[in-house]
Amino acid sequence: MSNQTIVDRYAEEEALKASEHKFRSLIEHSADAIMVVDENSVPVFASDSLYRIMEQTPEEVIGVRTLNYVHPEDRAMLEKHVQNVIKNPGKPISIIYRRIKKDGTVIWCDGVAINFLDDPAIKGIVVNFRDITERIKTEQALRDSENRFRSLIENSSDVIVVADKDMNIIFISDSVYRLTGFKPEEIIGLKSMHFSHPEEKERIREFINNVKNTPSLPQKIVYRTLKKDGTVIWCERVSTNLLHDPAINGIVSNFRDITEQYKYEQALEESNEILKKTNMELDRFVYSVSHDLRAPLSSILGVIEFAETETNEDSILELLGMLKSSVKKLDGFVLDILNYSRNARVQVESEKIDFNELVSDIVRDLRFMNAGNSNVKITIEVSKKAILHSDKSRIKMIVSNLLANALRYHDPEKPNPYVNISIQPHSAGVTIAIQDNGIGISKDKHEKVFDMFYRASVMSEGTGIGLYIVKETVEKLNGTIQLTSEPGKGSDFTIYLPTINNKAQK
Amino acid sequence: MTEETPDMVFRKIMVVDDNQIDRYIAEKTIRKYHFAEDILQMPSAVEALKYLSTAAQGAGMLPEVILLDINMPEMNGFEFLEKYAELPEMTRANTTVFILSTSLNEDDIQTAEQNPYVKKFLNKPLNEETLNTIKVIVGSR
Repeated sequence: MSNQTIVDRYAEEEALKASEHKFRSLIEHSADAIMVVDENSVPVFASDSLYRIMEQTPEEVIGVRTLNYVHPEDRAMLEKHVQNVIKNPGKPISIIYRRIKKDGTVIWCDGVAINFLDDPAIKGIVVNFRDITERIKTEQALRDSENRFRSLIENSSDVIVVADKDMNIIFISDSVYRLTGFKPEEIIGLKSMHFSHPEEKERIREFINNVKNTPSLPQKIVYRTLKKDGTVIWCERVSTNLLHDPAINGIVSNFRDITEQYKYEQALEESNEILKKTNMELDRFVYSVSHDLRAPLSSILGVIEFAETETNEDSILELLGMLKSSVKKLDGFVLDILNYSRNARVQVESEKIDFNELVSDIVRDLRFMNAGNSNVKITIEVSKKAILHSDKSRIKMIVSNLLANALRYHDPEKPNPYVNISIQPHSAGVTIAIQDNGIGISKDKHEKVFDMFYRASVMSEGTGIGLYIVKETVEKLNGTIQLTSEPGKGSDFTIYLPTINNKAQK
Repeated sequence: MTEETPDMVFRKIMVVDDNQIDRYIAEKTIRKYHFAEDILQMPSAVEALKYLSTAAQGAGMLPEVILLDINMPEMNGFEFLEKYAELPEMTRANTTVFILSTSLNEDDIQTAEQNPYVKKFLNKPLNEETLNTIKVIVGSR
């Protein structure tokens, strides 16, 4: 062998080494694992990167043919793949399969194999694979979420419809079958209008025009639609124009059957009408009864009062006085019942209360009706800061009742009987205090005085319903009432009333 | 208010009420306190209207004061007021309407006092006090 030959061979070997080194470093730094197997699938080479994926060293795999590291369910498929690769020299063939690591973990691998058995430089099948577990998991999650979404649509009792710009149905959920008896395939391509009740078509046309004219704005309509068997059902439909949305490019509508709800609402409305009518009739009844009862009473009172002016006989005047007080008591009873029925049924109205006017009106009326109590001094104190919006006629009734009581139960033994009416601001409303130095109420009766038909005094001229109505009315106005009283000293009724927002009451 | 009561006697007063006792009391009371020289008793609103629109054409035939009940058969006080509004201006200018009723219905009182032809809502029975109230109101016109 010449020196030249040796030198050349040496240079050749060096070049080969350099090239192999380059090639090896490329392989080692690749994320993919690279193996070369012979025609019997026995590994003859494995890159170090195999360890990163499978935690196996090349020494562990080279020379051993085994399918243990392949997932049992994928082994048959892999065998087939190998046959396929052998049959197609030089052609890269890919496969996705599961591998099992030493610790039992299953990973997804994306592999490519090329048959270089006939290539004298390689003489093997080059297998190249990488771990794609993360990607597979992501794809799976995506599929799951899509399936979930789809099943939501399919299982929803709502029917979801997508129509094109001419209102031809391009998608309809399976739930349409439950709602209408039509199968989706019977409906796709038709116009949704096709299924509506003939009398509703005009309204729906208008509705659809509105929807088309206001993109992205969901709009609602309730109308009758026909089932396959001809049954009429009430549908609630919400439609949104998403023609401009490239992901949808349609008009999306949700339908639901509200027939039951609609029937229920109809029935509710009907019974409400009946109730309203009954209430009105009751109101008319109470009105006419109270009028019919009061009219003859006032006639009797007129006759008595006139008779009083016609005689100077003390004994006759005394008898007339007794008649008069009985008539007034009866009249008071009718009035109380009228007030009670009004409070129970008449809606609470709210307006700004002018306490000065209200209280002086009441005092004037009471003075007019009960001349006998004229020795009781009435003082009125209304704070300028006492501002209240509430129900005027109810407040009038409350104050009037309490003031009448204070006058009626004044203490004739006292030299200076009085009643103080004081109205002061208090949190979101006012307090109305009616305080007297009358006969008072003993502690054990404080609870009972507000009961229906309870009368605390044997001297009572009252009906036993006045304070009951007062309490009911105060409660109707969201207020509270408090009583402080001691026999012989006097009584103090304090009422708190809040401002009432008219709308909240309705 | 009694001390300011003007010393006046009305020439003619009309009482519209279906209740005979109330008309009787009204007449007795009016006579007793020399409230008016002549009293026209009208047992129904229809008759009152007929009088006002036909019989009262002559001079001095119109009542200066009309006491009107609300609750009456055939035509109630409010229906009467609707027809009253259609009477000639002259008739309305020379008569003053008061409601005299037992109704304590808030709606009735409000409806009455909001009516442009109703001077005031008065409660039955008619007595000296009520008559004085009327005098003060009509006298101050």
